Amino acid sequence: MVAGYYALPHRWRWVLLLAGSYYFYMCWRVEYIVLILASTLIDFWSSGQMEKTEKKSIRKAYLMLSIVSNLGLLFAFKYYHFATNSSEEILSWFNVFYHFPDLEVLLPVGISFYTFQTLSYTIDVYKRKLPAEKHIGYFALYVAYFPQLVAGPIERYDRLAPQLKAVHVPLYENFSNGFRLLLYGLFVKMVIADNLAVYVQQIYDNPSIYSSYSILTGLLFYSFQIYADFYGYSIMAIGSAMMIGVNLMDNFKTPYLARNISEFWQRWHISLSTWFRDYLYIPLGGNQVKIPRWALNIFLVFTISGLWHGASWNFVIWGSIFGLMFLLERFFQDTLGWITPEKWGIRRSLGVAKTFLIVSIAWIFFRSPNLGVVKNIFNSVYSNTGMEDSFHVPPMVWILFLLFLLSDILLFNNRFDRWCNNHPMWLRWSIYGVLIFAVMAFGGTDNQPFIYFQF
Amino acid sequence: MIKKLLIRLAIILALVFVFNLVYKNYFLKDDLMKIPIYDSLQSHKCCSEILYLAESSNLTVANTDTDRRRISDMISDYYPGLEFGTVNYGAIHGSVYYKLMENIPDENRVKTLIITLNMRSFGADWIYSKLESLLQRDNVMMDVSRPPLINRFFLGLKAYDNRMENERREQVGDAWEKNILRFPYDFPYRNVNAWDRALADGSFKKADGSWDMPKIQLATSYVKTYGFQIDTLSNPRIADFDKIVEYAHSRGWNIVLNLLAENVEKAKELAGKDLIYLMQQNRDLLVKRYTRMGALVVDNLEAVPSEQFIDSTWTTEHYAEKGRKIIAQNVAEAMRIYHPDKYIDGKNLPVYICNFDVPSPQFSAGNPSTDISRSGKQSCLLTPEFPYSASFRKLHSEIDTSNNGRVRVSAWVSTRGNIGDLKLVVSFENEKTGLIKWNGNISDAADDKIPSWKYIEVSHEIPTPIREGDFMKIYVWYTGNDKAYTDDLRVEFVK
Repeated sequence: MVAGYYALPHRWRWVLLLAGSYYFYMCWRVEYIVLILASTLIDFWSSGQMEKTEKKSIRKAYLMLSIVSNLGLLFAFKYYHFATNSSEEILSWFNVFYHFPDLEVLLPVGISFYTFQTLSYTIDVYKRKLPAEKHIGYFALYVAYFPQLVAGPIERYDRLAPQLKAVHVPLYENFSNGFRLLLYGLFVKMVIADNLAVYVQQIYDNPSIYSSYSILTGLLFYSFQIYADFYGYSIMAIGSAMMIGVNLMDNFKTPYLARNISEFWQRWHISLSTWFRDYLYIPLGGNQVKIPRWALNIFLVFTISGLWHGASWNFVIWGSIFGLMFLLERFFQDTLGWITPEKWGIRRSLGVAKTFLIVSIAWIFFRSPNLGVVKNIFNSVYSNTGMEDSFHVPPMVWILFLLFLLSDILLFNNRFDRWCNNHPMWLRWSIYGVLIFAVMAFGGTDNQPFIYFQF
Repeated sequence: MIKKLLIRLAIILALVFVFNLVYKNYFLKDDLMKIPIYDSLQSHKCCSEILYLAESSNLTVANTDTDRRRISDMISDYYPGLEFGTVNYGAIHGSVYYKLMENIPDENRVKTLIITLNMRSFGADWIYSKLESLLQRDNVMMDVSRPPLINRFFLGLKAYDNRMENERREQVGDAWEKNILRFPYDFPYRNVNAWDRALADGSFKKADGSWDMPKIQLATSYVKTYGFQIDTLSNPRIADFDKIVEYAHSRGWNIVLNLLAENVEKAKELAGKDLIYLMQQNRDLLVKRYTRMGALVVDNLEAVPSEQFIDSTWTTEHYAEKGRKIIAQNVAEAMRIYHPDKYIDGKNLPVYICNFDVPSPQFSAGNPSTDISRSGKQSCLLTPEFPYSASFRKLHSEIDTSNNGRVRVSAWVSTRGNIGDLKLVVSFENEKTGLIKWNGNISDAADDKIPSWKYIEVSHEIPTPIREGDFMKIYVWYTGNDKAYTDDLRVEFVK
């Protein structure tokens, strides 16, 4: 793709990228390309119509068309079962037993990502922050750009489209940095996430037969599995895009070194946090409203963010935990002055530990298939102390895990490619060597799809 | 820029070359040992003259069986002078067999390969089985055409057919819909799905008029399993077995394809002659194709009577003792053309083998260990605390001594200590009067290929006249102070 891109004249490059992006998506399931096409056409047309008219009511109608069609797709494919099952449950409380029709569809990969991406565009056009795109090819490419199509980062039009349109020439720096990110991303995903996944799966499959220590190890591993899985994908996406001169936004900034929940969300899945900030939190009034309303807004945004991740009560609770913890932290900060300093020291370390603990507990709701498993895990942690079990993590997995922890600390507020630029060649190549060997010899062997693909 | 990139690419390739050596020397063995089928091959690939590769047909026995040995063990009764090795694992098929064959080193003693040709494995239900992803995963590491580190990298990348279970189900459903069934006469159903629906819509009723659901389910299962016609151009198993036969010839091995028996009687009862037509058509195709290619195809399709099939509620090639013996006999007799001078009539030959992996009813339990093994996974551990191996005990009156009556006993032994401390004992005793004769022997015949295992053999005539209460006892006795192991204890009554 990279070679083809540079070989083609500039005016045809978008065709190659778009064809490649659609092919990439169709590799998973051919028929679901229709959804991306529908979303693209509706948003392209409605944004064009919005630009043509000055009448706010008409613009609003086109915006609503875009929102309803995108969220409608999302609802039909992602939330229908959850909504109907929950409704049936609630109706049964009133002795009304109704069965909604079943909708046998598979969740399209990355649907939450590209619908949010294209929604941000129509909202911005509606608000006149952006002119509507005139070239349907570039718009389609913005929606479907393959490195970030299925798991983000959720890019904004004014950041990505100009880069897609720009004339790029092959630059050594881009290849070099892109390679570094791809290599580090492969290490993080294949070696860390995929290896930890085996032990996490073991614990979550049947927590009651494992000791408290083993379960806590499994919970710790999951915190890093999901991080490594998503972070690995994100930097590989950034690295791939960089090879053709496109700079995607950073999606992670060492989130487990955050002092508090607020900072955690400024470091974790940054493109989603900022999306919710710009398109939900601020329209709800942001911090320009009274405190109770603000608190409600915060809680609502986190809860909806939870629901964005998955259609089940587990995700709703997961989001709510963050909302509640965010508000509690803010309360202690504002009323008692408990502010964790930015400078590293004991207080900051305690803050990091507290935040990691909260996040790790919240992950239990995220990972468990249902609330029964959550309960089982808490019960087993409490009651299985001192129990003998068969949980065994080989020393090599621990070594790799510790290597990742070390690298994450070294990369605090930095990115691997930039970090490499500031270090001597012998060190860089030594690290490349370790990473290449680890990726080739120690990748997890079980099939572990990217966790965020399901969102 | 190009020069800069090429230099770096060259450095990376050099690194990968070095890393491959590191991986091969320090990590490969551990990774390969995680593949059970490969691990099993290691025990046999050097020393076996006959290698039997099979799926669960060779593993499964009925609870009521007296002789619980595998088909491969029963075949070995007919060739006592040949060293047999067995590699079996559930659900494996042509593509795995091929990889296993490639992993047999250049230096080997293999003369003949016997491979199960399972008709079911040519059908969509097995080709797209949910177990396929795991088998394909193991195949990646067994690929000999690439450097081991590249295999390991591909495994990490999941660069194999690793479809999820629901995708596999869709593939099976597609095949049942798209594969059109063609008969030389009018047949009402276009494909398996239509046939299946017709059966499911009420083919069998009980006496009280209600649907006989278990029978309907079994009938549809038979149609789904055997309702296919092998397309030699697109069926992946055909490609696998073509490669197997060609590869065996290229290595100079005789190749015997054991076309396994299916429960044809049950198939006819449940789905009628149309299904039998398909099964026979497929059988004829396989026999003709591979005979033409130079393989010896042993057609067992209809050889085993229905009552010898262990599983009565679904389709398998799991046979009870008599069924296994029929197949063993057919294979053994067919392969006489390859080893005419080694063949004996082993049908009723009293040969008893204890390999410590599968229960041998004539032997006591012993002290099984997975530390090392000569065949399979287990051997028998001997220590100063447990100096006796599993023992064979038989009353003389139960032995046919009409033809001079000798007993030939052999075992493989291994110890880090003094090999002379291991004795293979044949003891003739009487329940009332005690010891009659005792023979403990150690042979210095060693197998150079596996220096850690040594072969012991004792041959002794059975004392006559036989009195009431005379019995013989055979076992390995360790008199040293270290650890010792014995495996493949074999007792044979010869003329």
